[in-house]
Formats: sequence, C-alpha cells, structure tokens
Amino acid sequence: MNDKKNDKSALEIVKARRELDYSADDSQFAFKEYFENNDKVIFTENKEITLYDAASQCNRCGECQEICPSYSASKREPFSPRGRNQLIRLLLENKIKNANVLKESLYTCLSCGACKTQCHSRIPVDAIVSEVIKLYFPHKPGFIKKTALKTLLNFPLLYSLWLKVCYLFIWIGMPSLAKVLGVYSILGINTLYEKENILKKPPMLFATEILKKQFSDAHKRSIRWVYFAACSTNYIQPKVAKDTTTLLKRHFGEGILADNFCCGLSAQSCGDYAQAIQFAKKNIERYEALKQKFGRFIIVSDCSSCASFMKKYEALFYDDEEWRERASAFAASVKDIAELFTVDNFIKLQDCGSKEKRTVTYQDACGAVHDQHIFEAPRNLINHFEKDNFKEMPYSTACAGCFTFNQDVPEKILKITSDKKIKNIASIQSDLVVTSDVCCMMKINSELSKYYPHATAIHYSTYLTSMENKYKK
Amino acid sequence: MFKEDRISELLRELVKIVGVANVMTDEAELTAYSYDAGQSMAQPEAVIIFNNVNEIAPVVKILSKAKIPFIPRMAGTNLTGGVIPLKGGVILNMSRLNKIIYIDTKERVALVEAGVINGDLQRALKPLGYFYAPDPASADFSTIGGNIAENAGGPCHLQYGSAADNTVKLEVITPNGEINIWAYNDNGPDLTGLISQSEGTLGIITKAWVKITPFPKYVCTVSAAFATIENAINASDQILNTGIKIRALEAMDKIALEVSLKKSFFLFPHTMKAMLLIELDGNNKEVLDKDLESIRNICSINSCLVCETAETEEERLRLWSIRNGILPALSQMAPNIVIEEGYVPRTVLPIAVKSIREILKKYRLTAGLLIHAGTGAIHPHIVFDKRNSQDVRRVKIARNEITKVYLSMNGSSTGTYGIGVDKRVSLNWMYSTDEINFLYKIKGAFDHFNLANPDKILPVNDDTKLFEEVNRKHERSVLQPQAHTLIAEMRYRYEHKIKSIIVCSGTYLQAPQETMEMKYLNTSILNTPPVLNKKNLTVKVSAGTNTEELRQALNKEGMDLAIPKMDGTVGGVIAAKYSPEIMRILLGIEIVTPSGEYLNFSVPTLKSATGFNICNLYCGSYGAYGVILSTILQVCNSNGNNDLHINQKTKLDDFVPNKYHILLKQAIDPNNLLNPWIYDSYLKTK
Repeated sequence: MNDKKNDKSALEIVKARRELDYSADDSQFAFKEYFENNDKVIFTENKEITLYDAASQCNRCGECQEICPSYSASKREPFSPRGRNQLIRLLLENKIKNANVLKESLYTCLSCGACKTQCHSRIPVDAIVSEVIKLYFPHKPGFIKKTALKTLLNFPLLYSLWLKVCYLFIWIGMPSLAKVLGVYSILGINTLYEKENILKKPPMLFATEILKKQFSDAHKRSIRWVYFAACSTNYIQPKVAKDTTTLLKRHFGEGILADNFCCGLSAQSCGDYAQAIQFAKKNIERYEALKQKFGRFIIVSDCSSCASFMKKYEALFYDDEEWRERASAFAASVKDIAELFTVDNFIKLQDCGSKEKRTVTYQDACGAVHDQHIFEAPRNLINHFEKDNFKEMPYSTACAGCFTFNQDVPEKILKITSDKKIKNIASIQSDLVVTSDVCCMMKINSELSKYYPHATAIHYSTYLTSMENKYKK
Repeated sequence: MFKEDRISELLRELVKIVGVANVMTDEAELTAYSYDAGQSMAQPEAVIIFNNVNEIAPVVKILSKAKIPFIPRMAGTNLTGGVIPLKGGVILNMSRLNKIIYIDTKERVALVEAGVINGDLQRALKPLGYFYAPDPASADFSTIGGNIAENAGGPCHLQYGSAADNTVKLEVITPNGEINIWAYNDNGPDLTGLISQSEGTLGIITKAWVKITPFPKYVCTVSAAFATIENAINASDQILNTGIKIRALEAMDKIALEVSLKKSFFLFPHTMKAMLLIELDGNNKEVLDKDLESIRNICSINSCLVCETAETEEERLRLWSIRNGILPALSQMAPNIVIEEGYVPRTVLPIAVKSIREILKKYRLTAGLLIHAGTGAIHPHIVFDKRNSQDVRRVKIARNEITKVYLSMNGSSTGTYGIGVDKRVSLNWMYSTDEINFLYKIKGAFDHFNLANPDKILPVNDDTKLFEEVNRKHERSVLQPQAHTLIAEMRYRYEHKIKSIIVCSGTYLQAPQETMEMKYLNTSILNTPPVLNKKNLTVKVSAGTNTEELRQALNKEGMDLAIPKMDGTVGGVIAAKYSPEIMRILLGIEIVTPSGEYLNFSVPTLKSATGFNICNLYCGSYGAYGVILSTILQVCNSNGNNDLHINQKTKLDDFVPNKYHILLKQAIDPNNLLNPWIYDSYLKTK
C-alpha cells in the first residue's frame, strides 16, 4: 500500500518536472516533496527552521566569501559559507550520495559566524554546519579529552587538582609532562597554544579560589548579579575574573560567584554533544537553585564565547520540551560583560583620554558580535574614554584565529587568519587591543608578541578597571 | 553518450605547472564550482587554482591543445551564470591572484592582478585620495577582473562610466595560450573594449591597468519623495537636462521603500510612492550649493513631497541606507531572491515601470524595484521560494516577460550583469540572425574551437519570434534611401568580388588611387539630418555628417558633444579612432559588413552589454571591417566649458595590425574587399 503511494507521488513529481520548461538553465530546481525525511530542526536566533529550509535559503550571492576566514585563507569555494551551504543542500537532496565528500569542507569551518552577520537572508551557516557534523559525522573526543571532560563535569575539584599538577610541571620546566597529562586540551587551548607559550606562567590559584571568600553566597540576602566563571578565565586568566567582579560590585552592588560548571562549549567544540547537554543541565539546575534563594538577578560572563553559547542553550534541548523551557529562562538572564556597560550607566570619569597619546582599538569577539550582535556598546564606551585615541581597525569583526567553537580546524587556516588579524592591528599602529573574550585575547597576545610586540591585547574588563582606577573623580 | 575522462591524461602535465595540491578533481570541489550567483548549474571536470600569473598561459596552452573547455573564475558572484561550465572542462580559479602591483597617482593608473577585490583596491587608494570609479553593489566581494569582464558599474556609472570605461590597458591570455597586452589607445580596432565585456569568451584577463580618480572635495546627497513615479522620473529628466554633473541618480518605488524603511516609513508622507536619491560631487562649494539649489527647485516644481539634503558623511550614509537596505530587507521576506536587470531609454522609464508592475501582479510575485534613474536601468528584486516548483515557473516566465518589456521599449536586456547563460536567449529577441552570426564570427576569430567559456553570451537556440515582433513595432531597420543604395552597391561588389576603397570626406584616410581592381565607395552620401532626443540625451547621426557641423547644430539646441574638437565626418572620426575619447560617447552603431549585410547594434540607452562591444571594435577599424552607416552618440548640456583636448592622435601609417586584428579581418572580410591595402601584406605573409 505504502509503495503504491510512493509510486504515485513519484509520478506526480515527474509530471511536475515535465511541466517545467526544461533547459540547461534550471536543472537544479529541487522539489520539497523529495526530502520529507530531512526535517531536522535547527534553532537559531529564537527562530526554528528545518535544516533543509535554512540551507536552501542561500541565494549564492557570494557576499559571505571574503569575510569568511577559511575562504579568504584558501580562496577555495568549498571552504566558503556559500560552498558549505550548497554542499549540504545537495547532500540533503541526496544528490551527493557520500557524506564524506563534505568532511573537509565542514571541518574547516571555524564557526565564527561572520557569514551570518554578512548574509542578507541571515542564514545561520555555523548552526547548519554543526548540525550536519552531528548528524553525519558523529565523533567522540580522544581518551584524554573525554576523561578530562568527565572529570570536569563530575568532579570539578579533582579536575582543579589535576590541572594544578600539570601547571606545576610547567613551572618546574617540564612542559612535556604536562602535555602527557593533557588536561588543558579541552580548554580551547591545545598543543598549538602550548607552542605559543600562552601557558608560560600558569596561575597556581584559580579565580574561584581567589574570589570565593569575597563573593560567597553565605551571608547575603539579595543579589543583583551572579558571576559565571568561564573555564578560560577561571583556570588561565584569574586576573580578568578579579577585574570583572570588582567592576560588577562597584556598578551593580552585591553579587556572588555562580560556582558554576563549564558552559559546555568545550565539550561541543570537540564533538561531544551529549556531554555538552550534561554541562548545560547542571548549570541550569544551579541557576534555578540560586533563583529560588535570591529571586531575580543577571548571570554575567566575561568570556563572550561562553555567554553566546549559554544564550543558545535552548538549541541544545529543542526536542525536550521541559528542559527547553528551563533553558530559555536561564538564557534570558545571561549577560555578556561587553553589553553590560554603557556611557550612561558607567561611573563618570574626569578628563580621560587627554593625558596620553596612544592608539586603542577594539577587536570583536566572534561570540559577541555575530551571535549576540554586540557592536556599539563597547565601542561607544572606549570611544568615550579615549576620545581621539580610539581607532577602528580594518576587519575588526573578523575572527582572530582562536578556535573556541571548533577544535578540529586545520592549523594552516588558523595561522593565515591570525596573521591577517596582526596585519590589521599593525596597519593602524595600534598600542592596545581590547577584546571581550579571554581566548581571543590570549591568541592575539601570543601572535603580537611574535610579530608586533609593541602592542598588547587586554580584556575589556581589565581595560574598564584600569580606566576607572586611573581617572576616578 | 558516455562521459569521458579527458582530464586524467593531462593531469601529469598540469601538476607539473601548478603543483599537485592545486589541481583538484574531488567531488566536493567540483560540486562547489558548479554554480554562481545566477540560476544555472553545471559541473566542471577539474578545478585548477593558480598561485602565480605566469602559470595560467601554459595551462591554457595544454587545455587548448587537448580541446578541453576552460572557464576563468574568481569570486563567482556574477548574476547570470557567466562562470558555469556548461560543457564541462576546467575551472581556472584565479582568486589567489590578488596583488595590487602598483598605484601611480601621477599617471592616475593602478596595475592590479585580476583577482584583486574591488573593495580592497578602494581601501588601498583611499589614503592617497583616489578611488576606482566602478562601484557595483558587489564591490566588497567581487574582483576587478570580473568587473571588467562583465563591464560592471554602479550608481557612479552616470558620471564616471563603467568598468570598461575605466580600463586603460589589459593583459589578456587568448584561448590559444598567448599573452597579449592591449591598450585602449592603441592604433587600430579597440580590442580592450572588445575583451572588456566578453565574460571570458574571447580571452582571460590576467592583469588590468585601471584608471583611478581623485576624490572630489565635497559630496552632497539629496533625497526627494514624490507622490507618483512619473513625477520622480520627470524631475530626474529635468535635472539631467540642466547639465549639472550628477554623481548618482537613483529612484525607488513604493514597495522597495516600504520594505526598506519598515517602521520608519510613517516618518514620510503617506502619499509617497517614489523616492529619488540625487548625489553631486565637486571641488567648488559655491558651485555645488548653486547646483543643489536648482535641483531642489526642480524637485519642488515636480510637486515633490519632502526634500532632504545631506552634507555630512553621516547624513549621506543614512540616506543611502534607504537604498542599500532594500536587498537585505527583501531577502528576509522570502527564502530566495532573484535580481533582474534591464535598461530602457530614460524617457520611457515610467511606462516600463508600470508594465513591469503589471507583469508582477499577473504572476502574483512580490518585488521591489530599484531604478538607476540616471542611466535608465531597472532592477526588479523578485522574492520567491526556490523549492516551490510553481514559484520557480512563475518567476521564470515573469523574468522573460520583463525582458521583453525592456526590449519592446527599445532598451537592452542587460547592462551591468552580463549575459552569461541566463540572458543569452534574449539576444535572439534583440538581434536578427545576421547580427548573431556576426557575433559568432568574432568569437570564432579569437576562439576557433569554442573552448574559452563556451556557450556563453551567444544564443545557442534559435528563437527569433520576438525579434520580428519587436522590430516591426519600432521600425528599427528603417533606413534612409541612400543607405539602401549603399547596401545594394556593396552586395553587388561582394558578389562580383570588386574591392572597394571606403572614402568619406577624406580627412583621415589617405586612400591610394582608384584602379581597375579597387573602386571608390563614397559614404558622404549618408547625410540625413541628425535626430536629437533631448530628453534621453542622445543623438542619432548618419556617418556622413560633419562633426563640427553636428556640434554647431547641437549648440543651437543648447547641447554639446563631450569630445574634443575634431574635423571630418562622424563615421571618419570613429573609423580612424582619431581620438579614443570618442568611444566614451558612442552608444550604438549601424554597420554594413563587407558582404552587404546590414547590422544594427544600436540601443539608445546609456549602457547596453548585449553581445560583444561592437562599437569599440569599429573604432579604429579604418573601414576595413565594414562601413559605418549611422551612430548613436551621447550628448550633454552645453554649458560652455568644453575644455577637452586631444591627448593623442592616431595615424593610419603607424598602424601595424596584430594577430587578432588580422584574424578578425579574415573572419569578417575573408576576401579582403574593403580598404584592401591595409591588411594586404599581412594577409599574404600569413
């Protein structure tokens, strides 16, 4: 019976095709009826859309090409957002039979989302790509990474200890041993980072440990904010966490540490989607517990990648109604440090910018600009402090070549991408680069120290704190 | 019947030149090069990516020897399927060739490789105070090579010309793998212009010397809202007729405005149905202010509802964002969007807009119309759903009907988007079989085996029904009696193989004595009075008209020609390419081939990219390719400041035809009947 039905619909399709006046021009027109089984839903910017619908929105105008890091590094069409979209579309239409054909094309995507911002139709290529990878190339991270992730999820304290042992090895001059233990491979910092001496002087006290006393929830009745300690801030750059909490306290009053888990991005970016969901669930539960105790508050993260990922928690649970609602409530209260401060709500400072001549520029974190559309706020504030010292660099919204969103990107593409970033920073003779993502900051700093040591990159929180200290009334 | 593998035999040779990593035949790569921004699709057999300009010619040689088609491709952003490998073959990916080799501000020239992004060149020129005038909407992601091959242009086209007008010199690899450098002011037929809009069918542009223009000191933009599109177009006509130099003149219709302005639409009068964006530039603030005042006056005479002037950069960008927001806003209305294009004479713009709206209504399609009111281009942006077969069908039929609207109004089916695959059928509707065959001859002269981007531009199927319809309606081929006589004479001479010496007033061409074999053919009989279309700013002139007499006649009407002072007849000036500037104002041409065929390549629109650039080919042809009957010239308002000087005079004595001039001669005039002494010795030695 069913077969007959299929036959009938196939006939109809053939008929419909004949109706079309066929020439060489329109052989590519596909029919929606064909692909009913590909109704996988992706969730993007508060909009549900099926994978196939999203991919087939592309008009192939090519506007996304030049701003795509992997295309502009390789100048090859399969490595462009347009190319990925077309390949995925053909795969869903069964015109490409073997999914492996797409593998290289998909794995070169940095998932920075620059194409999304550029696209007139706002096609979420990064979400499409990660969904297709999930569907067609399910892969699990290696043993060490997996163990590290599990420890981070279930025994965070043990993980801290493990990390400290590693750091100790680095301090005593045996980084190779630390590499063998490899725990930090999941922090968005793999061997590449190690080579670039990011972990030359790793912190032996983590941010949560430093700030625990000051911001514990023990004796507090009401709070305005909760600080979400991102892994990169917590384990590598505790100073940023210190600056952020100082800022928050001064501007918004009482707050506490969230005592959170990893946001889950580190698991997702190395392919472990199930683990990412576990992380998300733990964080949501923690949020709900705090909410019951304190009422309304905002969750602030100083790592834009984490903030953007948490804002998209709903996407992780699109087929789980109960969790989806909870995730949505959680996501609504997440705030990125970059969007928090405006010229109006920031403490008034006196004659800033006039004292020294320097060039300050702002590098957008991909998570902030492409996912959360934070563009004006940090610029306005820096501009307000720096007056004429602020200068926009060319391609400031382009990725700097760290891979918080996809850890499998070939090194070569990252290299060209970061080289371009340094070139752009140098082209305006910048002294200071401000950014709102810790990984981004570390990457730029390590590249700058090699090619343009005159400049340094600092975190947005650090920048704001330093401004405040310098020019307070 | 079976797909044969032509590439694997050559793989070793190709790899030797470009390296193993740069020849790709895997499925992902081939699929990714099977499309562009147009509506067509076809897979290549291999993709070669170049890291060095010097690698291209050897590769082309190998491919042409093996008779494998090749298609140059860079960003692949063209809208008409120009880089689709219809016959398979090899995609030559040149997008890595993106070096700006030098910028010479003294000579006002920049030398760039073909793959340089237009926007990158602009950024490099900006600190020097210069800019590259062609500004297509895709400037930030399309390449200079592609811009030239498609003869692209944008709003600034009105004042500064299109990509071909801003090209000084080109390095071209012809389909047999030879490297040639051709300049627009070379003696003899202009090959730069011919290559410029050939979409890679005649050769591959590898390097381009492009004109750079100094930034004007002041740029002002005026936006004016109108209650009807007719009022808006009338105002724009009057503005152009004042002779004020307009940088850009854009018009938008109601639907386009509604989607672009969205919620801020209510800020404008609710009766607004059209808007004009007028931009002026200049170095003299006083003059600019005066011009602005008169523009505002014209707008208010045409019952403009609101008129806004922007003088700061921010205000300007805000006004332009209305226009630039149309495409993004429409893109989000439906899954897919297709951008159609066509040019009509400016005078019929309101009627054309009305007819297009009717067609869209008939097929229940939503579209915003964006109009370059200055150049007469209409861009309907049609939204639809590509997965819906009915939608696709309706869009296809509507697009064809819209194209017919352009053509029935004596316009052109394309101007800046190229022809590619999507529009090639429309050539059938514009040109007669003779004219299309002539275009084929040109293609054959360059590319005998049809390997360079095959099956593009020229129609492969015969569909001339509409041609007869359209032409009967407009009496395009009504000729003056003298022209008929001349054509009859030429046919007679062709049949009897009598060689002719084409003479007109004899200003430029010093012909040898009449002999038994060679007979004079006097074209000065072609002297019907010129027909001036004041609103459209064009004049149709017979070839025998004296240039200065024409100018005087125009001056009486308050018009002028934007060319330096020249003696002789219009036909003579063009045939001798006395000054290359003439090519800037030459819009159309009617010719008789050596075999006595009458060909009409004249469209009275500011830009028409239909077929090859025949006008430029006949500039400097010295009568050896055919006889020019009449031309359509662009005129301007005479405001008494014609300070143009001839930079360079060409002389026939200096003319040494290159290989492609000779090949063209052989294709067009195989018996060497017209002005035979010019090519005589070269044809013999060959």
